[in-house]
Amino acid sequence: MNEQDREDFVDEALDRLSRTAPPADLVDSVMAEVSAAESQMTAWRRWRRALQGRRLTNFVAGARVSSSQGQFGRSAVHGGVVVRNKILWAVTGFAAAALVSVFVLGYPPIGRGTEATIGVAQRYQGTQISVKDIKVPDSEVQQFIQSEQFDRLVKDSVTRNALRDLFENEALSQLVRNRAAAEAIAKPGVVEALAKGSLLEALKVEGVAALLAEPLFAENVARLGMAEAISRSQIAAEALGKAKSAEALTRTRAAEALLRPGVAEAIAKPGVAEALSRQGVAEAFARQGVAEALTRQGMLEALTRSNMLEALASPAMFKMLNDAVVRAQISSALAR
Amino acid sequence: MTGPNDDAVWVARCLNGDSTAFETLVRRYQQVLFTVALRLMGNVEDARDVTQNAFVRAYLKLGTYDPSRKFFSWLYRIALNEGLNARRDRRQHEPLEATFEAKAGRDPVERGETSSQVQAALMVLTREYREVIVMRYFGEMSYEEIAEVIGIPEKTVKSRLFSARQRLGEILKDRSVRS
Repeated sequence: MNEQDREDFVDEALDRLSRTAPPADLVDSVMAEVSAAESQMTAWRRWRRALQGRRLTNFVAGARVSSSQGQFGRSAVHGGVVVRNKILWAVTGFAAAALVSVFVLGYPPIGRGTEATIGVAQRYQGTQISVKDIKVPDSEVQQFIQSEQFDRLVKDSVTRNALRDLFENEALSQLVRNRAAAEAIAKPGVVEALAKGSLLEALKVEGVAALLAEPLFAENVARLGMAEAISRSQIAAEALGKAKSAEALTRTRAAEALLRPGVAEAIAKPGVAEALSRQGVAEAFARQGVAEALTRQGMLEALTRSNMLEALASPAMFKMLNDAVVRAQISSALAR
Repeated sequence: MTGPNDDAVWVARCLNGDSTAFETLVRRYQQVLFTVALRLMGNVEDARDVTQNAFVRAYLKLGTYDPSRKFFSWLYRIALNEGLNARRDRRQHEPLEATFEAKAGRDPVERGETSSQVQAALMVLTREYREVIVMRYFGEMSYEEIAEVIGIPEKTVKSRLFSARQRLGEILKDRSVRS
């Protein structure tokens, strides 16, 4: 059977089912029910129906206006739809003109602080990451991804970008995987101190991380306060004196780095020296690529958010960062 | 002469308290609505209930009728919802095809085995397919009207109708081979 035959076959079949006469008493049954329904209507409902009826009458009258009779004259007599249509068109035209002036001519100006008042609210339109984006069986990670905390992070453009960097950048990821470093970041004043930039620069100098990790150095820093300690050259000298001679030069450069303007001040912040002196933390910050990643716009800002710091300290985040496949999946989901 | 505006006049009269004006509309559309209901439901009893309920509901909701649209499209939408509700209730008790085939023999309107087979084949189609066929061939609605009633683009109506016809042809062919 070809296509045409099939078409004819179906047409023929449907033709066999012609219109069917309804039961003879259908009209009477319907009207009996209609009468019963109408008798139960309240006065208020009847009045509303009458209003709707008048609207329909006006519509029918308006639709019957002939163009040769002149719409304006007739509408004036009947006081109805045509005049209202003209008003509607005028209002629509005015609204369209206003929109054109806003979008094309840029008036009224939409400046900073006017979002959601004159212009559109500048909300970040990020998509939520779902469990199906991340193919891991770990229920803790899945719960974390579905949590309100993670939802808030991905809906905030600053923390979302920071998270993306964190999952993309191996150096940053390593930093946060170091539990002591992750906790150090969360300490008061550490992020602010790193934000100065000078401390991160100093950490890049060979030996600085080792010097900060020196127990004697840390002890002196804790006892005397860093700014004061560094101003006393004997602190560095004492540290250097304990070192092997081969390292002495390096240590000198490290001490110089710590004496640079801004660095001492940054380390003097409460908790910073203590945090950096913890095992492996200073080395983690000094690792290649970390300083660049941390100084990237938005990263340190994100780190000042308490929910970001909480997230970094969570075991689920640790698991996610430890899994290269998950890291890749999350960073690609966040990039969408 | 009938038309959208003519129907609107009768609707306006009903709303203004003249319930007998509604009888004109019932008489005007009873045959087409009953046919459509019969093809959707598959038996006279259900079709009668659906038609009657649709008219009564339409009367109660007359105030929502948009006179710029065809009265029958609006009425059809109501009937379709009534039909779906009735089918949903019925499905809880017995399978669709069994229902139709058991009742088709008792149907006084159907004459001859062939039309029963075509109706049975219609009932095997999915609801979406049956709807478009019924609207097009028994409601004599345009593609545009069908699109408006179902709420899908006109192009989708055309493609759905094409698929529905093909499926109907296949079912009929299978049944004729088996018998």
